[in-house]
Amino acid sequence: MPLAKRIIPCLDVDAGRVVKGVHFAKVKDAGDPVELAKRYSQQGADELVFLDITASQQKRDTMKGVVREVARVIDIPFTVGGGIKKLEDARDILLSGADKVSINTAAVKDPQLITQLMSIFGKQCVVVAIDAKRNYQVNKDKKRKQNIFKADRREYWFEVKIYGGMEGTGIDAIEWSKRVESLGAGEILLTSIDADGTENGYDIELVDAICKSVNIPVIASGGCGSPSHMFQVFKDTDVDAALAASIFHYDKSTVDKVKKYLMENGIKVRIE
Amino acid sequence: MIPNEKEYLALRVPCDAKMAGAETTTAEPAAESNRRIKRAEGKRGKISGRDNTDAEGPKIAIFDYGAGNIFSLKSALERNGAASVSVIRSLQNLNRFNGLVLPGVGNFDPAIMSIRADRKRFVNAIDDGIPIMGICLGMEMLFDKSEEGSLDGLKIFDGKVMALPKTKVKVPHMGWNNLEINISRRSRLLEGVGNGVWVYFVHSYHAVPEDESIVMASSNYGVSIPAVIERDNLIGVQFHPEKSGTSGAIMIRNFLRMCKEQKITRAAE
Repeated sequence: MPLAKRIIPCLDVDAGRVVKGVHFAKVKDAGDPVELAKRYSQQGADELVFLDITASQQKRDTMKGVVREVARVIDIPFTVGGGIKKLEDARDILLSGADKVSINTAAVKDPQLITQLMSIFGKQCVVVAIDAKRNYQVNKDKKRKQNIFKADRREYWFEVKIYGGMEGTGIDAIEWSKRVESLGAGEILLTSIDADGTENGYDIELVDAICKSVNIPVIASGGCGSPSHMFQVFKDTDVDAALAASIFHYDKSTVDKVKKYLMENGIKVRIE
Repeated sequence: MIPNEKEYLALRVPCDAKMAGAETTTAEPAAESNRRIKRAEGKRGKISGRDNTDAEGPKIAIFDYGAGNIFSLKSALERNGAASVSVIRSLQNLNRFNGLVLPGVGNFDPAIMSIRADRKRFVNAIDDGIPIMGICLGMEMLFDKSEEGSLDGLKIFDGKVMALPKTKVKVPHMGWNNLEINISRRSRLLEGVGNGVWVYFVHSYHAVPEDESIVMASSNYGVSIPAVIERDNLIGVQFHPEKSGTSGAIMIRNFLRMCKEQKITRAAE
């Protein structure tokens, strides 16, 4: 029996407040993380993701307090990511009450971190976030494997980006997803930088390619502007969960409405 | 590089410190306890029949293997009516508590290592009828052995723990699945829980009990997974009730009610 497709509101947190990045840049204030967490949980969210985008190191400790308060009030799982550089950072977040930690740049810089986290806390705690973007500079010399795609007679591959999408790595996202699985990741949170902030829908091509490459759950992120985008990604790919932010924060839609819509369209979702 | 034992121990969580939270007391001093009972008695005078005031709730212990987050579980027990929730590393003086929870975080061998010196106390607690709930790994530990580790389990239930079939399904089994309740059996944990409700699973192994009659509910994920096992006051759940929304909360309250009944029985003796 297949699992319910998970609907995951994402909350970007800066110094204890929820904000949402558009193309990883401009942000608007959308509220208190604990209040939003409670609201989403009551509306039937299957899980929550908090991304700590706090730049200053001193203010980072506020996140631990937020995690603790969230863990106290909600009865669904939640993941915390952003700024986790080393084992101790991940441990602090998990012990504050998070169910999973998501690592991104740190995983690329030090892939063994994935294995270390897995061996101490278990695979289920380790989410590797992959930010991928189309790169049209195709390198045929094959020093590093690139999985080539073609559209409108242009060739491209998906490159893993780090530091919030600012820096390229030269690593192919599909190869990286296989590697993180073998290193011990329990889940992949896949963000398309091309789609993120556009509200034009998920990056079906990227999501499908990653889902076909790994045997761990994948969460699709980036581009959701309406419930129909969630329907599309569940219909066209084998993805396990869809993450969205702005459609929930600004009351464009609510989690319960989205799930009702998905159920009516034949997608298996959890409705209590 | 997998952390060596020294690093592993350094990362283990200090008992009753960080995880339990400095802001919550873990082992409640007797004086404070008495004050609370007095307060509650005062309240009872005004609102009779209320049974969810703090001091009337059961005292619960969570056994900590030292390997991860049990704050959510502690919070869920508190939210649903436990008078106090203590995080313990030894099963000594278990009679201070009305119920015991084996949490669901960590790996089989380290978890077994942390509890095996107390196996006799654990068996005595079962014989004494203290309600015990093993969650996920905490349930798997009740069996003879597991494919996750090389050490013997607690051998309370006959049977073994096997890996989920990787070739058929994505592993870990992580997400919301339906609970298929065996309605011909009477489960106290599942009182008031509807057949087919959604519960949250995170696991890579599943129990295969020899005695099928202890299985109160199962879920289907490539194989039929025993999701709730129950024998007298001993309960095992493969999913995480503390993360399973409203349905999970009902089960936690049912467990706490069992603990409370045990408390009353013991007081009467």
